[in-house]
Amino acid sequence: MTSPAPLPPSGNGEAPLLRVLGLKTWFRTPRGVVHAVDDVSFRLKRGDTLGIVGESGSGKSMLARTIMGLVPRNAITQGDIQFDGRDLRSLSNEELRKIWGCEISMVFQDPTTALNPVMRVGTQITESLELHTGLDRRDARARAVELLGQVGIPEPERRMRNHPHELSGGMRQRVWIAIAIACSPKLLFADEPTTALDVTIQRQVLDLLTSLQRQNDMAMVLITHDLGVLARRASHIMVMYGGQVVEAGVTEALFRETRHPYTASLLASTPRLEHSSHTRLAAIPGRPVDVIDPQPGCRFAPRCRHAQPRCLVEDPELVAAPKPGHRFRCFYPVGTPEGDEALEENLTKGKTAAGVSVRAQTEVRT
Amino acid sequence: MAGTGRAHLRDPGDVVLSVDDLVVEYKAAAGKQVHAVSGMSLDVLRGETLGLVGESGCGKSSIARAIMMLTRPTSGTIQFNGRDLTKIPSGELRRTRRSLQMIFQNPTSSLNARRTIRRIVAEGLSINRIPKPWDDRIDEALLAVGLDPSVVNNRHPRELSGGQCQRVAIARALVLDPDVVVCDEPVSALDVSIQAQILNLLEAMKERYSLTLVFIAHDLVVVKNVSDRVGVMYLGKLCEIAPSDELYTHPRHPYTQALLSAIPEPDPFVEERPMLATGDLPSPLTPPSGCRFRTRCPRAQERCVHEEPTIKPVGNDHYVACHFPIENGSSSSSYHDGEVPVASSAVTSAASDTL
Amino acid sequence: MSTTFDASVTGVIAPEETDGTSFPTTSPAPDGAVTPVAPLVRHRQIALWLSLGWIGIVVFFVVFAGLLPIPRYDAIIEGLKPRAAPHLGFPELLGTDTLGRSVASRLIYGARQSLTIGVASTALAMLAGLTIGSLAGYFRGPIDAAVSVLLDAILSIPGLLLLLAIAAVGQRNIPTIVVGLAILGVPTFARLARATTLSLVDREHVMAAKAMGARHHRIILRELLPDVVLRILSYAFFFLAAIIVVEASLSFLRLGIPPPQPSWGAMINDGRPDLQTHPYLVFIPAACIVFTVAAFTVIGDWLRRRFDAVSFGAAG
Repeated sequence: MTSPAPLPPSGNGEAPLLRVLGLKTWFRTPRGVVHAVDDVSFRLKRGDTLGIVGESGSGKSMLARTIMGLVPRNAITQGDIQFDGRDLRSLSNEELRKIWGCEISMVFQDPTTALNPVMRVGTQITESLELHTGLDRRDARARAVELLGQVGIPEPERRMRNHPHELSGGMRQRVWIAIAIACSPKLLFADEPTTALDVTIQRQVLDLLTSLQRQNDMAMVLITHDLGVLARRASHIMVMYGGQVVEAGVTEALFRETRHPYTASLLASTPRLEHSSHTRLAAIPGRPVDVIDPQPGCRFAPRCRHAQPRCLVEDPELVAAPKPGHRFRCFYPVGTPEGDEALEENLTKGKTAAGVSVRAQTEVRT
Repeated sequence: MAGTGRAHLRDPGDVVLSVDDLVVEYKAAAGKQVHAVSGMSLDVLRGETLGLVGESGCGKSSIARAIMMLTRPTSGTIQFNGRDLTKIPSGELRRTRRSLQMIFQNPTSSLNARRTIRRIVAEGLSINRIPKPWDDRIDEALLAVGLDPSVVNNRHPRELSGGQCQRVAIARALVLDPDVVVCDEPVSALDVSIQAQILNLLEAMKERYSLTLVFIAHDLVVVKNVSDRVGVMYLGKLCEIAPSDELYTHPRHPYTQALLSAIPEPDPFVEERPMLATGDLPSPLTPPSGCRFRTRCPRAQERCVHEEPTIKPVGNDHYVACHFPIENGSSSSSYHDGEVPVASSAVTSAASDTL
Repeated sequence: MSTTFDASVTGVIAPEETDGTSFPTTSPAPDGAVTPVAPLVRHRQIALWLSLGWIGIVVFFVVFAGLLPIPRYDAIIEGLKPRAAPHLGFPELLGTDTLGRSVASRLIYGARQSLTIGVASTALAMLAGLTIGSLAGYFRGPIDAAVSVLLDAILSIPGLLLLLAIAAVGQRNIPTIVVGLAILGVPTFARLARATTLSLVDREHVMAAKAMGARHHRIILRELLPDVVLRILSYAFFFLAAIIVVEASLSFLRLGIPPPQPSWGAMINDGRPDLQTHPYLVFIPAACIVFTVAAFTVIGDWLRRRFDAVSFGAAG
């Protein structure tokens, strides 16, 4: 049972399902203003999967939460969020309640906190169904059983009567997915939905999400720290670092014509099955930091092998790469003459403009 | 798919740590027993890195704690440097701990939040009454793991990142000059870019301090990167053990193959591997009879229900515990060598064994 | 270089596609607009400062009672009638009681008694509870079982009856009362200590210490107790507040320290017959009890917030 190939990108002039413009989420903290999400804009078409990848501090989770309105009280948000032609930020709570859980749904990492521990699993699904679709009790029950079967839970009638703690982690996650897709939402936010699960279960759950997408023509935003997971499940990928989008594009272009040094480093630093044991990994020096009161300059410069003096003082903008839709934020990108020269220069000097020492890394053949 | 058997153990002369028929069981709520480790035997040669991989409930953390004698095993022996750790008096056990150290999964919580970094690294020296002065040893350990003593000495763990905390934990272990270091998921809690740093660091430290490592993780690819030899665990039993390159290119146990097939293919142009195991992991409270993997195995037969397989050699220092191991030569294929799962009733009836 | 971009395609929106007028590009947080401090937080801060202030005053008077130019608590004041009302002129700020003694000095010496008994019994209960609770939580097994039996035995006796029994049988002096009150408190402290120890003993830094060869006492004292004590500390203040009330009740029932030692509870009882005519004789000591109890409760609450937050934050 292979997982389906990612949908090819296509354009036909249809309005995007989700459009986010200039989204910013800032926090006032004693240390300064944290720029958790800094000016992110993207659109998502119906049925497509957008993958968002990043490490801690990248802002990927905060981005999703901002769109969903789940930000802490001390957050300052700004930007334009359009869903299906409606401006989400201007809707009343009443109207938002109709959309959330019904047209837009979410699945997060930890199913234990999402499911009510004292309510039976079946009731949690029927409750959502009755609320949003107006089904009566019997029809809702039938549909719930059907949903549990759809998400691959064996003996669904029996499971309906279980409480969440009686189920394994993988099953709980599947129950959450069942609740999430109960009303056939148009858009699903999946924030690290499989990180806490075992490898074999992860695969099953991800396959499930992809097949549900196809069945229901559902758009999905899949947020993860693992670029490998997105390779065959997302048609488009956005790489985030320090609250900004540093590279974005169609999956194939991102992998084959990687431009941003961070993306390239991520790809190079993850161990691969094809490597023999004891392969030395091309690690990225330094660590991801929270962006507080950012100074001008590229946010990845302190860790970048290509860093030049310009990178320390000027903010790079998102510019276009040859393939349509592929954009990156770098002055000396990978795979370009400027980038190669910059790297050469740093290798000769033994360190980057940021003072980090570099040395040649053996090209790892995949 | 049992772990019964010692066929895979090697010449005791070179072995620095070995575990024989180890059983770890403990009581869960309502009088039930958790069969965390059920009769596993392992050995580690001096200077080797043994990787142990498996999913939740396989017992890898339990076996790590048991080897360190942090929890007392229910039965079985643990031989370390010629002494059986389960039988020696507690005073001697404490003294032995110097040479057998551990790195934990969560870097920040494995360090005492109230202490400064310097005192954390010095902890082992203080406990083991190493004669002072300690300053050089501490400085050397901190520098070896890539931290600047003058910067971190008086910091507290909460001021450091996860990766830095893990470096401190490694320094704390190294300062005692141990023989064996057991690493229990040391990089699982870290960001991807930091994982690579720590893995490189562990390799470098192993070289520099001539360590023997036991590396436990759920991430197959990470384990392969670090280990010389890899053992695959499932529900408290050892399925398969082989040199790492051999295991990953020629997996012989269906579970190993299933694990490998579940890894996402990080290349959009390559076909995804077909997924080979179905269903959920059974609970360690009620493991299936016979071969524990049979409820999810596409090759399960009648025999697998009643008889537990023992570990057998299949060549190349490669050992498998399976009645119907995969024939050599196939790496990513399914059961194309003619085996059809006959006892489907056996498989489905056992599906109710799952939680 | 870039082809005409299809506005419907999924992906990041390029800067040049946005016209920049639909939303401001300046910082969303103008310097002037400060998020107002939630009123609740401010009111808690005020309560805390008032409480600390009150306790500070009480402690000051308790400690320096002997040095202050106030009459002895059993001295009859010359020149003033008994039951004289409080007035702001010297010499007696708070008036005199039924026998003509200074209310102010009786309050102060009464405070000394309340606080001494309160602090002593709290400290004793905490020490005993901490010890047996943490040992039970650390070693489990037979020690835990024995401790549970002991605690259940203490808890099975209703508190007031226990005190009355002690008061009836034992001598009515400070050590007896302190021990009696401490016994009442041991079960709860022990339970808290045990539960906290149980939750901490599986933490990785504890296991790390064990893995390095640390002996039990070292692990308990260095890895566990600091966190356990912090968590119990807030309860200690709640207990202290309760003890003040209990001690006052005992004195009110004339089962506490016998006169002429003053006590707030006894003063209330003394003033009871004159409640209609001279209410201040009752209300002044009562107010002291109320303020002191409230102050300790507020401090305990603040500690609970502070240390529970810190210990969760440190782990995460």
